[in-house]
Amino acid sequence: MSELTAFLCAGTAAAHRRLGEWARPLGMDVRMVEVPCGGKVEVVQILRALLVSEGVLVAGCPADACRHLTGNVRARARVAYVQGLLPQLRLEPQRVAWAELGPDGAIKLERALGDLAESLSGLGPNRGRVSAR
Amino acid sequence: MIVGERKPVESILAMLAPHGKVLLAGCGTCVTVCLAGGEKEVGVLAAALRLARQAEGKPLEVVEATIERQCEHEFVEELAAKLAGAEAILSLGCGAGVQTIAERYADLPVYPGLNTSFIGIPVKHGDWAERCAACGDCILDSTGGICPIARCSKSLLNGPCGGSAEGKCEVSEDTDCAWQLIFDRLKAQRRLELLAEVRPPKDWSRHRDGGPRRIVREDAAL
Repeated sequence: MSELTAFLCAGTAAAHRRLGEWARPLGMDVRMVEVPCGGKVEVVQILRALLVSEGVLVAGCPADACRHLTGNVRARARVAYVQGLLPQLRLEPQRVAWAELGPDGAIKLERALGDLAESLSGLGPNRGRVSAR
Repeated sequence: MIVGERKPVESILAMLAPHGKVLLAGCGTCVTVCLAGGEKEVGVLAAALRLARQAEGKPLEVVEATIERQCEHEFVEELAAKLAGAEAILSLGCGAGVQTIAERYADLPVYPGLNTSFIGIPVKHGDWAERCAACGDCILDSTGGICPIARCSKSLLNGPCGGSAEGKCEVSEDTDCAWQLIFDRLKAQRRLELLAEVRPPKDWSRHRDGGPRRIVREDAAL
């Protein structure tokens, strides 16, 4: 059972709500955090989420489709920053992932969460995790 | 502003290895503006250190505190209220901030979390460049407001060297030739005659060559 945290921009809200119906059948325990825009997801939030979960997904809009113009660019850059930082902490960079959602967001989100969960299953437990949520 | 950058996390982890609880101190002035040591960076580093130490099996308790300025004793005093049980202090201030904290809390190890880099400006978001070398004897009046000491790779005072080509420095193609910039600025201002003036040698004793510097103003003393 993977315990994931997913930050979703408001543009993916519909997908998020649909996800609630099938997340459990997939065997995933996902904590959804809705933010106004992917650009609101800070590095510190991703790291703090890693302290209490096995992996973190940040999901935003595709390139050139951000309602706030560059929020998706910022979010992707912050995910990349954390992925670069994790090896310095002796943790696996695969624990953090970025996903671009389009009009078919629910399907892509399902796939992104599934990919993350599968990737994590090969890594074993998050050794940096300090507590269960 | 003073510009710095965080040391590699591995270096910080090595410094903190003997400790189980530390105070992580941020500074709300220069290093906040250059995104190296403000409240946000304190939060990021604290979370990163917790993750790394948990993964090592040696959990680290990190108390976070960001004060207005680490280089003034009245602000540094505020850290006392958060020091209970802390075995060391990790400062995300500049070198002056680290030393002010170390002076006030002399019974604790105080570690630098940043490398203090230079006095500079943000040329664009996420990109800072050196502008002042704190030489103690400013000559910007004669160089069109462009400092050849800080911005010329060789700190030349008498025009460009032979390595200047097409406005760029031979040390790096990313670096503008400071003397080209000075010439262009003064030409645009119709003040090129400044470059023809003969000036006495610069007094480097007012720079680091004269030893640690100090300014005393009796009118400002209490």
